[in-house]
Amino acid sequence: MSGSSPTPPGRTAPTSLSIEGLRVVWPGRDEGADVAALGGVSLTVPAGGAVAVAGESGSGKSTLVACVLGLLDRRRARVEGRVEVFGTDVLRASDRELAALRGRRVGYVGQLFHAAFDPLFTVGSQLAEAHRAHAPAAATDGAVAEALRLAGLDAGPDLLRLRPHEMSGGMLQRAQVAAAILHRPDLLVLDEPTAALDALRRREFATLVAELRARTGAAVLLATHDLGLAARLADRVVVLHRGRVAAAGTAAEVLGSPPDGQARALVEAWRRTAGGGGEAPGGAA
Amino acid sequence: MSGREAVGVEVRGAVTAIERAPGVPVLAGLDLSVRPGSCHGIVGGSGSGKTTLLRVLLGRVTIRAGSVTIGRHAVPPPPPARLEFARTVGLVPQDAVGSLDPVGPIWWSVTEGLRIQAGVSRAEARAAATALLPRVGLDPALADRRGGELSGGQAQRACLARAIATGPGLILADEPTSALDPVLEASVLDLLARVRAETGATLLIVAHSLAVVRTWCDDVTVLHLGRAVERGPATRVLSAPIHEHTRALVEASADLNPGGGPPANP
Repeated sequence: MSGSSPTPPGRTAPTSLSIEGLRVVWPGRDEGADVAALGGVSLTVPAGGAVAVAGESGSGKSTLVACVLGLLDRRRARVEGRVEVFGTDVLRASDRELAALRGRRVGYVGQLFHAAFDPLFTVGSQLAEAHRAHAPAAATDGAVAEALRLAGLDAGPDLLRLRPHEMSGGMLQRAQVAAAILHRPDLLVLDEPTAALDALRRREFATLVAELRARTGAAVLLATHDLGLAARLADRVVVLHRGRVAAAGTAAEVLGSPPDGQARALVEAWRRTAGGGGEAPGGAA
Repeated sequence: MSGREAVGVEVRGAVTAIERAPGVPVLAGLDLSVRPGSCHGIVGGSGSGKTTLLRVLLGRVTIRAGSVTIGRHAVPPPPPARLEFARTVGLVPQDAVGSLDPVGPIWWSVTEGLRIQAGVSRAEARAAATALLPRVGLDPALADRRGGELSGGQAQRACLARAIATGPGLILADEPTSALDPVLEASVLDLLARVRAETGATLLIVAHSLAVVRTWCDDVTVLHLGRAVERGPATRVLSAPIHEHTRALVEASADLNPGGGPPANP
C-alpha cells in the first residue's frame, strides 16, 4: 500500500521538503505522562534553498530530522501531520519508497563521524558499498573518486585504503560528506555536523557545504544549535522550543532581532558563548 | 565542605612518552603556568594536546622529560601522597553523562571522591550529597535518581558537584560544555564561575570556543602540536593574537560568529 504520490519525471518539484502540522508524541509510562516531542511544526525547504532548524537540547530538532529521513519508530510514537520529501509522504511511505529516497535523493551527514563508518573496513570500501546500493558497480570507482574530490579529500589510492581510525576527525567528516553526495542528492540533511569539530575544521566544513550547494544546487536542511553555522549556511532559520516554532525568518531577522521569549534567550546565550554579534576580534573584519 | 587553598600549576618542558607519530611526542616540550585562584583557559585545535595535558596534570599520562607541579605536589605524586593529591584536584569531564553510573543513584556517583579519597561513611556521603546538589543548582530530590535519568545539563552539574565534593584547590574542566546548547552552556559556565568564587579554587578550563575563554577566563594558553605557542591575559591574546596559529583560530571563530549580523549567503 502506498499513500504517496511521487513527482512525475520531467516536472521540477517546487519544494524539496514540506512539513505541515507535524506532531510527534511519545507515550509516557503513566497515563497523562505523554511527551510531545513536536507540537505542530510546519516548514518548507524550497528546491535549492537552505533552512536551519535551531533550538536547545530537547527542542525537537533530532525528532524532526528522524521524521524527514523516515526513521521515526512509528510503532512507538504517535505521529500526525505530513512530511513530503520530493512529493513522497515519508511518514506513510513503504520501505521500498524510502530506500529510493535515502542515500539517493537525500544525503545525510551526522554529528558522530566516528560512528558513521565501520571500524573494520576501509573507508574506500564503505563508500563503494554505499554507491553500489543505488547504482551499477561499473560506475563505482569513478563516482567515489568524484565524491571524494567534491568533499575536498584527495582520493589517492592510499586514502581509500585507510580505516576510520587512521583518519583525523576533519577527514572523517569529509568522508561522511562524500558518502552523502555519492548520488548527487537534491537534499542534504545535516544534523549537528560541526559539534565535534574545532574552530578551524568548523569553518572548513561551512565553506565546503556552501561550495557544494553552489556546485550541485542541492537544498539543505540543517539541524544545529550552532547559530553561527546557521547564519553562514541557511537562507532561513526556524527556532524550535519544546517542539514548537518560537521564531522563523531570514537568518538576519532571527539572529539580528529575535522575538522576545525563548528565541531571544537562545540568541543571547549564543552571543555570550560563541561571541556572535559581539565585538569583532582583531584582524577579522 | 572546607575548601583547600587555591593551588597553582607549573609545567616545564613536558614531553610525553606517548607519541602522535613515530618520534613525535603528543606533548613536545610544553610549558604552562597557572596562577593560584585564577580562571585559566586552554584552547587549540583538535590534536593539539589539550586533553593529554589534562591527563598529564592528573598523573594518568607519564612524561619522559620536564616537570609538573600542582601546589606542593610533584606530578605524579609518590604513593603516600596520592590520596591527598586526589583530594586537591577535581575533574569535570567532557562526557558528563558517560562518567556517571547509569544505574546507580546520583548521590553515590557524586560522593565517589568523598567515599574513596576521604574515607567518608555511607550515611555521611548521603547527607553530603544532599548538601552538594543545591550548590550546583540541582534539586536535592534528584539524589536518588539514577545517573541515566539525568539530562545532559543536569549530568554536567552533577559532575561539578562531584568535582567540588572534596574541597579541591584546583578544578580541571575538559570541554565541560561542548555537548550543551548555548543556553545550557552559558548557565553551566556561570555556575562554574560562581562555584569558583565561592570556593576560591583555581579553575583550568579546556574550551572549544574562544568566546567562552574571553568571557569567563582571566588568562589563556594556546596549544598547537603539543606546545604552548601563546599565553597571556585572555582579552589581549584573543583580541590581538601574536602567533599565527592563534590568529588562525581567532579568525576562523570570528568568521562563523559574525559581529552585527550574518554575512550574505554564497
